[in-house]
Amino acid sequence: MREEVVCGFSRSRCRKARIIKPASWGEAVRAVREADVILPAGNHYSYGDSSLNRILLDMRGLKRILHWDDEQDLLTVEAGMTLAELLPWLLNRGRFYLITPGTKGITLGGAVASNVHGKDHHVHGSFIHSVEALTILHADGSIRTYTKRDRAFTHFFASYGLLGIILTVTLRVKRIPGTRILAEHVKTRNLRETLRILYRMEASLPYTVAWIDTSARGTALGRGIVMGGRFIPGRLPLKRVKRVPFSLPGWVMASERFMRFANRAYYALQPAGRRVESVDSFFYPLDALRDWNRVYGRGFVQYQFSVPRAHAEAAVSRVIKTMQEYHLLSFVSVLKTTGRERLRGVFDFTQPGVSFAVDIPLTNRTGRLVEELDRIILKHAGRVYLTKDSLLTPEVFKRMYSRETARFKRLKKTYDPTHKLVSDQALRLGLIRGERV
Amino acid sequence: MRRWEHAWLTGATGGLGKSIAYQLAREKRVRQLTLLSHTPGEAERTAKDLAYRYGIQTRVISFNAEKPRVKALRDAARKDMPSLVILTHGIMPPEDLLDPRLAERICRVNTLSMITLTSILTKEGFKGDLVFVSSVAALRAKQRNALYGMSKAALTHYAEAVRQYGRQHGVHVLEVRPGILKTRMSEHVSVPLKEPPQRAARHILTALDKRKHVLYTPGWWYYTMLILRSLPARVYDRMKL
Ligand SMILES: Cc1cc2nc3c(=O)[nH]c(=O)nc-3n(C[C@H](O)[C@H](O)[C@H](O)COP(=O)(O)OP(=O)(O)OC[C@H]3O[C@@H](n4cnc5c(N)ncnc54)[C@H](O)[C@@H]3O)c2cc1C
Ligand SMILES: NC(=O)c1ccc[n+]([C@@H]2O[C@H](COP(=O)([O-])OP(=O)(O)OC[C@H]3O[C@@H](n4cnc5c(N)ncnc54)[C@H](OP(=O)(O)O)[C@@H]3O)[C@@H](O)[C@H]2O)c1
Repeated sequence: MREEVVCGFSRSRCRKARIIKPASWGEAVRAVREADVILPAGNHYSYGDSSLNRILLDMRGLKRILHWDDEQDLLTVEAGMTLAELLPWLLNRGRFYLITPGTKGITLGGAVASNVHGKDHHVHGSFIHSVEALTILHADGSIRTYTKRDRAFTHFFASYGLLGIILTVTLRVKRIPGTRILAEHVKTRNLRETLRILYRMEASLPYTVAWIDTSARGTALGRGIVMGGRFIPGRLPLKRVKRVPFSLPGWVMASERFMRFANRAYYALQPAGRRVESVDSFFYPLDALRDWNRVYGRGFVQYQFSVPRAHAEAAVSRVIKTMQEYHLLSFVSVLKTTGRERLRGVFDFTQPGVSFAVDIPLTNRTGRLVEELDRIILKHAGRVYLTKDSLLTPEVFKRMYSRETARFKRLKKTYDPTHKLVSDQALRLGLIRGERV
Repeated sequence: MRRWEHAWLTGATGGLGKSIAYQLAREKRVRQLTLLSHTPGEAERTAKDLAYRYGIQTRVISFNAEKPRVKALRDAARKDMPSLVILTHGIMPPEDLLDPRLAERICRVNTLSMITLTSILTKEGFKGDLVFVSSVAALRAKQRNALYGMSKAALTHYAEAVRQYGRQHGVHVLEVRPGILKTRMSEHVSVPLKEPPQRAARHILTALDKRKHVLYTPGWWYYTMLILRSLPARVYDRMKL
């Protein structure tokens, strides 16, 4: 056991924690039995305090490949495995994740616990749709396996480590013709066009996403670059990661002028049209710069929400305008269409419509801006993504997730009546009573 | 770099054993690896991982060092004799110098089980490399872990004798004396200079390549022990170690 300061990815929330890193299931069971409170943690790529607690069970020591069925494309792996570590193994076998988020830094346990989504949400839905079975270490120390056919299966998705600890994940992976992606980039002039092209691409391409220039105003508001792609035959190697060895002073990143410059430059310099990309450059562009979150200096908050399709244009444009009013712009701003889903996790934020994510530099105005964004989202029947949240209040949270909260409380009674599994976020949102210590 | 057709390894669920298993597999030094473990479920998961990642053949045999099942082990050796055997299992429980029961248990696991395995293997005609993991604690006693030290001292003694026996019988013995490893066993020992098990494993494989007989890891423990061993009782007993 060691004591360390741990932070969420945005470095806006940090705390001291005691960390237990089991190297075997036996050690994990013992840790859970002996603890009065504990929280499983992956690679801390959640942005806020979802993965923070006084005592953490660091799952990254458990990352063995336990089963591979080459005919059925089924792979069972321990939950501490990161997507990055597994990726070369998969690509060598001509396979890829059925569903992957925009980073390969996360663990499989984290992917389940946040029920993550990727550029193919409109086709496959959230991560749950790529999982066939889970092995769960319960709060009482018992271990059980749940398959897709079990009713309880969905309880461990988007429940943020609060209902059980994921030990193994059985993934369905997909066959790919090669490791190259034929990508299409379209520059758009405003939000309406961005959405129109996104919806159009969605019909023909499995992967779509749009980057938004948050500095553009007036008739250009919501302009950006819509990207789509699909795998094609041929091989392209994975890239080596570069390091960002510095922190920029907070005022640089927070300065509106710098952000406006960065947004405009990116919009202007990205070539439109078709090109071939590698898995890394297409799916994981942000990972190319390791520790890029450090460039924000003091830290930032990430804000991601979903709204129903009918509200998409109104909600997204209102959000961008509000950020501009506060002189806080975002550079990594991602708009994605989200589809209908068969299986639902506990605190899923997605709904048929769109999701929009922005990085907001941490300044003394940020809190007020986020409050205002929350009000906008509520008005548009939207929901904030908990894995990115660090500022939501219990009141707003309850309005966004009222049914989910009621269900969660029932499940908590079943799986963890003594409230052993606790996170700072759960305490902050009033999901679990108690004080953060 | 030496390679072996088939190896037996104990303690692969522990810090040092696991590191050895992964290095053997990653460097394709073995084609077949058999893990002997008293927690076979856990060992099975490691065995699967080794096989899927590195394409070697792996297998698990149930082995409890407190009461080894001689017949099952003999059958396994007969069926598929290894040419490399690495015995890393061991325990270092909180101690009481005056507890004969505990002394017995520690000796069973750390010493007697090693003798049992050596005897089974040699009687079945084992030829090849045999590695015993002892400890620097074997060389001089300390009240805090007297029983552990005693069990390792006996092992060191035994290993030396097997080495002599082996010269005529095609068995090469390597006896390893780690200092303090950064593993679960010494989690509660707070010293700054713990050796990562990966590095100790690397040293062990290199020592095998060089056909060494005794290995201190890290190497400076050789000099430390030379000094400690030469100290008179009056001085040594008062030292806080
Ligand atoms: C650059 C970047 C891009 C991203 N892009 C996307 C994206 O495109 N789509 C998307 O959906 N998300 C995205 N995310 C968010 C990220 O996928 C999630 O936050 C993910 O949950 C992080 O996983 P982790 O392994 O780092 O877990 P952590 O951040 O350590 O933990 C996240 C949550 O999972 C729980 N948890 C972790 N392991 C286990 C386990 N074994 N058992 C039970 N609970 C566990 C923790 O308790 C915590 O509640 C992105 C994040 C970054 C930094
Ligand atoms: N750690 C140190 O500082 C240090 C210093 C000098 C020498 N050593 C020696 O190095 C060797 C490896 O130790 P380590 O640091 O890797 O310790 P470890 O992590 O505690 O590993 C010990 C291994 O022995 C196994 N084992 C324990 N009891 C057993 C039994 N009854 N039957 C079968 N296997 C049993 C354990 O299996 P389970 O995990 O399944 O219980 C585990 O695999 C030991 O011989 C130790 O004495 C260690």
